[in-house]
Amino acid sequence: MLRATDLQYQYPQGEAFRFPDLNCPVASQWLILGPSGSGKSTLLHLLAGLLSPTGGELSLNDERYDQLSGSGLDAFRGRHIGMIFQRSYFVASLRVRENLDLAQQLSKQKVDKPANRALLEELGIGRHANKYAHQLSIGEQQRASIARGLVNRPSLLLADEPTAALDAANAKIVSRLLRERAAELNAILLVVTHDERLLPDFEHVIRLGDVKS
Amino acid sequence: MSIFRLALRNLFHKPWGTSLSLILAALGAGLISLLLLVSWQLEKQFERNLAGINLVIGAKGSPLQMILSSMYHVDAPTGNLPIEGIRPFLNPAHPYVETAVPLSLGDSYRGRRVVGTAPSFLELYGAEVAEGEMWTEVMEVLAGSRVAEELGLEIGDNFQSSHGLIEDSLLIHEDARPFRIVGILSPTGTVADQLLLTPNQSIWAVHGEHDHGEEEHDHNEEEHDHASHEDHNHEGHDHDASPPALSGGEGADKYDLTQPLTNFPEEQITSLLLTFKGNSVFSLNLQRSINENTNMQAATPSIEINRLYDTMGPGETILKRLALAIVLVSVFSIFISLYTSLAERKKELALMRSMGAGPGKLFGLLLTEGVLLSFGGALLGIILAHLGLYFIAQFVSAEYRYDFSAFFLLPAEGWLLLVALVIGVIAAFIPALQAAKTDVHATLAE
Repeated sequence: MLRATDLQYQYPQGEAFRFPDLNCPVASQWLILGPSGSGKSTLLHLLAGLLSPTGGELSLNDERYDQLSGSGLDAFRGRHIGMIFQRSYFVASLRVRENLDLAQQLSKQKVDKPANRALLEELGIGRHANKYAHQLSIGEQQRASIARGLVNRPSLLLADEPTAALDAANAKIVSRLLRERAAELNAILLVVTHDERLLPDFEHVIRLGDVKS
Repeated sequence: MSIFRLALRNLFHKPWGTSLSLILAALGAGLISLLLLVSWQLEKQFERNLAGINLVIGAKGSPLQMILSSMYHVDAPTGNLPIEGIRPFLNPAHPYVETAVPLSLGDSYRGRRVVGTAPSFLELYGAEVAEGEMWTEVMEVLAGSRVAEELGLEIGDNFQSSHGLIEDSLLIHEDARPFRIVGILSPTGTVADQLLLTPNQSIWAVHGEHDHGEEEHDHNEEEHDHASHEDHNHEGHDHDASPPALSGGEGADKYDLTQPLTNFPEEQITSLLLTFKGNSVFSLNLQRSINENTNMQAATPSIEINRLYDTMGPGETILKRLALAIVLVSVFSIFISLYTSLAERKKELALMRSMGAGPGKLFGLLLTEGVLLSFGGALLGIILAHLGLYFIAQFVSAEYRYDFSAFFLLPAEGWLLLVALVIGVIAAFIPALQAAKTDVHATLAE
């Protein structure tokens, strides 16, 4: 269960956000919609532990992580949270499969190369495992990015505009893959987007309106 | 994947930038290493061949030239000395002189110097007869270990020497009785390994028909252009007929090794190497006295060698400054390479943070990259310096018969690698700090 209660964030420059409470049960899938500037990315980064909230509480499976900091928070994030970004970022000097291995290693998990390879196969990019990210198409890169987000079998899978750069067909594929894999892992899936095409795929939808306080 | 491997992969991912930084670091470290190696080897060679010699007496001329020709056998002699002039030093009962080693120079065989001397020469350089036996007669020769090996000389071999120090068939003493190898010396690591040693009387015998009446000629034997040995006429030499010209074996037969050199007052030697019975004041006084009151000159080897170092000093200083400038440029190159890569890699670094890498890990990654560049460059430079020295050694060996060893490590080179490590840390520190301070949220939200 992911709980966000009275979650607030104030940027040093002054902009402040207050977010609606979240109670996301295990294996639930959520779409958070909102226009640019509505605080979608801020919310996602708060949930990911990349930003520390200035108010409110955050817990995942009853473990408070809004009060964690430093290496404790890094370890928590690595162990429990998978992230997929709008644009696919990779360590450029490493092959696709090595990027997956690195994600496991950085979260201090045992590197399971055969399983990682199998994951790439399941996502339909097994033949690209030995390529560098820049050698893949944007759709393939996004699949590889999903694979990396799943590699640590996270409890919480966060996706930030995962389909924004994709055409309709690829957006459908990526959306399906995300939902299927999250369901397989019993992970909570939270997709933050302004892409209304995804609306029919999700059972829970939150629209971020004016969350500025 | 360890931080080390990831750092390596990152460096290989940018081959041009990495190569440039490596080359600059290698150039700086290589130049410093080469300077260290050459200067260490020169010092060792000079030290080894000092052989405890306190004073060298020879014909007037350049004292450094006299030292180089008499002790290191790399220059032409300054001229000759009459036996009469050095008689007191050849007296075994001299109160201050421990050893007096007379040298007769100026002949060679296939580019290797034939040196007329006394058995005490062997003691001076710690040489022993490894094969065969000590000479007992005129024209008998002990070959240094290296010259024997290089020329394939064996006991019983005969050869004719050439006048002068260069290989020239026109200068061969064809009329003289040939030299005969009777022994081969053990290796000493000194100049003795490169010489063909024979009694002084052998050189007198070969040069029997030449009488260099006075010692005052400051000329370069190598520059002589003799049409033939029989009819040549040294300009500036006194070729009077005393003693009368000796042909062939006659010259050799004239001398008996059981007689001291002082029994031949009309003969000459090139120089005299002296060691004293531990009295440096005597050495200084004697040197001054000889230089001021005789037609000879005396020089202290250590002083002349220091002068030689002083002469080489400015060149060495320029090279050292150049090396330091290159090292400085390489530090900047590593800094700039890492700093600019930060901009390209900030998303990647933020991604690593989002995957669980702490700031320390990113700091370590950038620091490792800097250290790999500087340490790798320095290591490459040291390897290149040794390879360079190997080629220099080939030249020095061919030209001067001196052995330069290329494949050994100086302790200073270990320090050089340590300094390279520190330089890598310094150059990478700021970029590493920037990497550690990556604002993950801001970077990924861009």
